Amino acid sequence: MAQQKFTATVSKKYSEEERMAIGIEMIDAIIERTKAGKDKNNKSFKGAAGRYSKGYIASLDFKLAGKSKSPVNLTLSGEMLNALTVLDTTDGEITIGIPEDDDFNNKKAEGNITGSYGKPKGDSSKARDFMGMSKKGIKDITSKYPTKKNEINADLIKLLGASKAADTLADSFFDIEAFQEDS
Amino acid sequence: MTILNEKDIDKQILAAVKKKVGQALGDITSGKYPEEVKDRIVKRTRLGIGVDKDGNAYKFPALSDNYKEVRQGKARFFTINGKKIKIIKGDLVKKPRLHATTRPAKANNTATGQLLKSLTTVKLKIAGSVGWGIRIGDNRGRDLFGKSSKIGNKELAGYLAAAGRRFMGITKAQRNEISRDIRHMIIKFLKS
Repeated sequence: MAQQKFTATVSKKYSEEERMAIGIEMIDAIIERTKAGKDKNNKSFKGAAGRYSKGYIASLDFKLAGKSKSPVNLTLSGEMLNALTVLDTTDGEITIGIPEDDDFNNKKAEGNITGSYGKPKGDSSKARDFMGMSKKGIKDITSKYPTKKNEINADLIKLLGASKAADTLADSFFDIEAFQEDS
Repeated sequence: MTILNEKDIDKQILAAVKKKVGQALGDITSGKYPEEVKDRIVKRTRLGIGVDKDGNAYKFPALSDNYKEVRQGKARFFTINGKKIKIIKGDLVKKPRLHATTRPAKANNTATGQLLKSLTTVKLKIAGSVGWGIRIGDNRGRDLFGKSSKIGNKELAGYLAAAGRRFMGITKAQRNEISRDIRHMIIKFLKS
């Protein structure tokens, strides 16, 4: 099972912080786009990929997740889309995807991207390729990050500052039952 | 990966961000967000997805054939004088009261539904910070067959974890979602 990821090309003028901010915004956009039923090219999932099977709609999981019949949004528990992360950034490149050691979500993503859904072979008619972003989609985000460095980009600082604080707060949820008192 | 080099950014903007973060934190604390996080743990578990100690998600292992038969109301299993017996007819064998969020063959830590329903959130005052705890309420009512439960929910959760069905905790993906939600809340504050 392969790691599911893609690399976006951006200007080499961007700093590491800017690439990280762009990557964070790309993930937000991918999740929003996919939940709206659109693929990596911003096109609606079509044919068999654009609808759920009757069996799936009638399933307990479908009800437990509170899903709607449409649009097809690749969201049941939310695990797969939320597993997306900025894996790496290098000069002019941002790599987004699912961490290599996350077998559970890489399998789910592979099933959707190839249309295999647990079967040995993929089926392009059922494929829902969400892993990527069109050039226009990337440009919509990078246009907020000018490459001319004559002034401070307040939006960049806000996003990275908020992201750093949010990361800290996200680690403040605990399973109390796992607490062990030091003696 | 470091995402912010504080030396390189404008101190006034950084101070404004930190102030707003404090306000956002107050909103999260007083709001329903921790409850939502708890509900996500319940939903994930009901969908049959567990979390290991490293935060990795995994599918719960299937229920044993014997337990499926019990949940189907087809058999009961007992041990008498060290001998295991299977009863397939009579008063002891009856339809169990399975909760609506499960099925006989569904491995989702749900039988009567009491365990997942018992989860609550509590605010924690941590030195220099704040946190939220998810805990299990220990009291259990009747079991699948209407008898008083012999064990509490905490012990049950321990048994389930030992059987490979650990559910208490936040997966890495759920943590990403929390981080994104909080970031959005902070940015909303910054714009206000």
